[in-house]
Amino acid sequence: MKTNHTNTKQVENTLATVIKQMLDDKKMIYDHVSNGGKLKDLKSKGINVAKAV
Amino acid sequence: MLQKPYDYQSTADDVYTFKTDYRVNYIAYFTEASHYFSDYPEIKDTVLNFGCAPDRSTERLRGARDGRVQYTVIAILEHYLEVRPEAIIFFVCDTRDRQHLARKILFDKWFSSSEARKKYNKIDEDICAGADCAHCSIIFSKKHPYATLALQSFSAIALQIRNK
Repeated sequence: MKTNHTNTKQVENTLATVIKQMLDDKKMIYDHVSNGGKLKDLKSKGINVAKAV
Repeated sequence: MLQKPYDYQSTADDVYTFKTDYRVNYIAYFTEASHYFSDYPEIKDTVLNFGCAPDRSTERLRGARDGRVQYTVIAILEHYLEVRPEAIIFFVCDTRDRQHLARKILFDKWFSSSEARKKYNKIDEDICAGADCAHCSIIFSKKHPYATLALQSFSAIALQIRNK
């Protein structure tokens, strides 16, 4: 039981981190592009632009 | 009343841009989101983040409500999904100014009043961690081969955090 509880906690923490990361990325992108920055410049920060179609 | 979307262009930088009658420049973009969904190998490579924002230097010109912006944003989303029907578009409302609920309500209204709702599923979840809630949606074709898995994955993420 203790192991399961620990695993569940780990998953929850991971997911919470993912959501926070999504929002942080969104803010970073907004600050960058709304000030005239190029999205591709954020590649070094883990933001990969999907090809426009 | 149905309004005409603004003309939009895709640039060499793989972003979409359009300019409104009020001279506000908007940028719309899709970014890879596979790293967020690494636990879901079947769909992770097809998940993309979508975002849209006015250029800050022209944002002050927004003034009156411009209904054509919503049709343009939806048109860009529809175009992308028509060309890449396997894509699953992830949309999270920006919390930067605590206006994320207003953005969610607005985007819900845009989508539900568009023809896109007939061809695409839009699934909404409020994913909360502690006191912070993120209003998220996924949009994908109603004919998507992994529609059920996409829905289950999205719901599982929300449920796991909600039960914390």
